[in-house]
Amino acid sequence: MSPHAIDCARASRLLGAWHDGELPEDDRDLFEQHLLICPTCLHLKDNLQVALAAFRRVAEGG
Amino acid sequence: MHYWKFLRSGGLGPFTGHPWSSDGRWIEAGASRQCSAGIHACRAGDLPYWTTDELWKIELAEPVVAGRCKVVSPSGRLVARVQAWDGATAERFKHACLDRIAHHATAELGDAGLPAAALRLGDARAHFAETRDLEAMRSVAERCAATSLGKRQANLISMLLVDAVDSMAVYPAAMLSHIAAHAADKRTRVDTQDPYEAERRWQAQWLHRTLGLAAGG
Repeated sequence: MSPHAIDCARASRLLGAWHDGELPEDDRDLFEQHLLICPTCLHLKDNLQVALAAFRRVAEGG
Repeated sequence: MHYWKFLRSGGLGPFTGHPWSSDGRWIEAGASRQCSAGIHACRAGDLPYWTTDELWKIELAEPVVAGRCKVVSPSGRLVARVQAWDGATAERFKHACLDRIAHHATAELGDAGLPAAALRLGDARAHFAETRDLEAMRSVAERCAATSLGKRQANLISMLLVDAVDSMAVYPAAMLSHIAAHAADKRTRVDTQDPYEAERRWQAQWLHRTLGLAAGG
């Protein structure tokens, strides 16, 4: 891949760090720009956010 | 200085899903872990990197820190939606990007010593501008890719054109602008140090002009 883009495999590896707000700025830009061109990865990211929010609600409720 | 922000349909942050209020209320950074560093927004030149469903003009609080392809601020508020960025304009932008990819493929075929293929693709570009006939463009692009098998860059850009045609129906505008910037980056003879960034500037100018952003958008 060129330095201007990442592929889905790399995006999936970066997803956790992105969610935790731990990605360096350049990686974060590449990850987020990948989401804009890849509906599959965007869907994966959306699902992860929904699932983690549900877990958090359960944990807080418990 | 004017700034803009792309949002997903319904006024949602494109990545965090944070609901942005359009009533002029200031939004502070830190609403989610992902935006703890600040509110992200675009200068005019940043727009092609971040296209999605809705475009808004945004006011940002100081200090506004400039990054490579975005700016970051501690807080921001939506000022007005840029109504000119809608589905029809996004479709026009996709067509403009596809034409640019065809332009780069045509030029590269010529540079690779394949004038007949370059001519054929040039004719296909003109035909596409009149008819929007994607199937015809795809057919010619595939033939150009086959013709240029021994010419690595010409073959690669021709294949990017095939990919772009295939992306038109199902992928967003961001995909077409992304492919166009990569096609530019693969050219062998260029008169700029960074053809990828030069293509992004071309896209930014297209958006700026078409959306009337010079007038405040």
